[in-house]
Amino acid sequence: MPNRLPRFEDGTDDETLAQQASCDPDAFSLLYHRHLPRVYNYLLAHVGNVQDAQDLTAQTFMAVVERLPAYRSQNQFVGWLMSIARHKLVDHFRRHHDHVPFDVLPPHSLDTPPPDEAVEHQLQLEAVAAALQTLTPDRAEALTLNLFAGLSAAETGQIMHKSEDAVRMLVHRALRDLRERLAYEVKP
Amino acid sequence: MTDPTQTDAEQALAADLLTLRQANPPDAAFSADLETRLRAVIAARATSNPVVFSSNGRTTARSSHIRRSTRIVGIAASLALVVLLFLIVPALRTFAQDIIRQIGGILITDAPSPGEEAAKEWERVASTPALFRSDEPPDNAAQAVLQSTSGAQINAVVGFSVYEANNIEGRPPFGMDFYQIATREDSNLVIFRYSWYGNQVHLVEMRADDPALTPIWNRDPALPQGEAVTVRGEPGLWFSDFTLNDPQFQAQVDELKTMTGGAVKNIKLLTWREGNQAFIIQSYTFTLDLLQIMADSLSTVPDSRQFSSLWPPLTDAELTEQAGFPLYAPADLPDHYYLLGRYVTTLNGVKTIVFDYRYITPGWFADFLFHSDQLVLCQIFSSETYSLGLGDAVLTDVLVNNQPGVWIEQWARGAMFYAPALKETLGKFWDYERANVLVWETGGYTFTLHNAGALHLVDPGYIYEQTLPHLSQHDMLRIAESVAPVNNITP
Repeated sequence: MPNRLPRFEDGTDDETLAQQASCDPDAFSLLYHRHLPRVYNYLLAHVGNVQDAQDLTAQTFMAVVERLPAYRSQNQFVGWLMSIARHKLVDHFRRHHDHVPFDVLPPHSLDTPPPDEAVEHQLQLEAVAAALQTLTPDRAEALTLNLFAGLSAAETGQIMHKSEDAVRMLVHRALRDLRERLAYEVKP
Repeated sequence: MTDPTQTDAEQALAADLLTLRQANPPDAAFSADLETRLRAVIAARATSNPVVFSSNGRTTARSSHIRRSTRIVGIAASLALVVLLFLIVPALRTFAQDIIRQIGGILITDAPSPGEEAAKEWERVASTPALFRSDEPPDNAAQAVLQSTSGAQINAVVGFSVYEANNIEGRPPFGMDFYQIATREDSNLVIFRYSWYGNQVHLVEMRADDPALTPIWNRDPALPQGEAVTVRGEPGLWFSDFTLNDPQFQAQVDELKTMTGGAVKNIKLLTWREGNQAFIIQSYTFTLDLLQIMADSLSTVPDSRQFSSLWPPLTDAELTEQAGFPLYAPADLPDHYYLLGRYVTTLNGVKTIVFDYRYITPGWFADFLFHSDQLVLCQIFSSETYSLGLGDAVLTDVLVNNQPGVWIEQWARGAMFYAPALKETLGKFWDYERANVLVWETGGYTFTLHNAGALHLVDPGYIYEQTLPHLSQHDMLRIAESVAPVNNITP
């Protein structure tokens, strides 16, 4: 991994970098470091374990490298990137069949933290991932893109083909559902 | 994040989720290792050998952008090959098999599935130079006439056509040609032509004799320029009596029936002929300056659903007459599925009535979805038999209208083939196309209902996997139990 990136500034926009990144490792590295956390955390939130999240992250970026030469600047690199991550995720669930069916789990059957401990509000990754799978797909997707991938409502809407208002509503409902699933209460 | 519509508890939860995110960053070692590997791929691409022409006209090395375009072509071609192999491979399996179940005329065995057979065959063909051979275009190859107005500025454009080539198992014969034109910055030009006949793969590489010839296809000023139209929001051009010819790349085609839309969407180039109609869709992300067309006349913009009209519409009576037995049809279909076509053919050596449904995917590419047998109902006489290799799929016994049936989950009915170039980085160039299948018997007829969930589509700018929802067993049973005789028509 290079320590210096000679020809691109940190502020270089995604589109410029994406145009160069198919054959310029330095340009790619900038993009990679800029977006790795969002891709990884988005996937991690869905799968709930580091190993799968790493595998899917690798698959996503490998696909990105493959497809970059054909990428056409549309000022939506992040959307393009996250769409690839989403499809890797869907494919993962399709192949592994390890997701919890939507209506199987009762709201309180998940591993929620012991209520009498100081870590009452410290969410557990696996529990959040499992709870996310009990939400409707749109709500879970909006929430993970918004909170875990760090996308704005507009960017999330672009990926999900929904308006910003619709995204905010989905996130709101996702949080409401998630709160119920996790038996989450505000600490006094 | 804060939102005025959220309660305190929800805002607290959102804050905790953000904390959770921050507490779980990507592992540094993983991040560095992945970056190193990805950079190596990019570096290798950046230093790959340019296109070099040998004296016999074959390309001995290809530039990277040509390889990627080849992948697009390969994936597009693979979908057609899936259908083809699905048809022919079961009939080729003659070795002994253990019968797991018999439902009417269908013997379910422990043999490899068609997808497993197809993948194995592809590995064999692709690794055998003698089979993966160059050839001259056959006499009945489709016409591909390409024109460049900006020559070397074009990276790659693909044109391809479906045409009749040979006869397989009584099905209306067809083959596919895929034309790719690619130019490099130094104005060399290469055309690849892939032809699929049965399980034979032919690769033809043609080239311009001299880079100085580029652009070799100049638009004849006398030719019509087309009429600008908008088709579902996309700019397009209509041409009438439009023909471009170049002796070097011209062949004759008898019939051009359909185009597969996804790849066309990607390459911004569409041509197909049905009833002497032709259509060109124009690029909207970069200037289209290649055209492929053969048309006698044009009238109206066809409904996009006709893009995949492989079969002429038949009446119930015509279907029944062709099949020689009464027609059954489902009364209950899930939302978003519509009938793409129905026809009588011979599958696995048995006369079969086929109903082919397509799922309407959401989004702008819905109209350009590859035809891919997403939901297929097949009906045969139970007195006819064929075997169906289960492969690695999982079989479950079910009841359909209180009669025994089987539910086969994740059956590898075909394989998706990528262009060989993809192997260089991914190490594998095929993947299974899996379907869920319901098999049951009603009224002396045996039915199979296939539902494929995963498709590989070509999207603007990149190849991408589109996963459609697999129908649940419940939905499939509901469809099956609604299958009933149609109108009491007798042959």
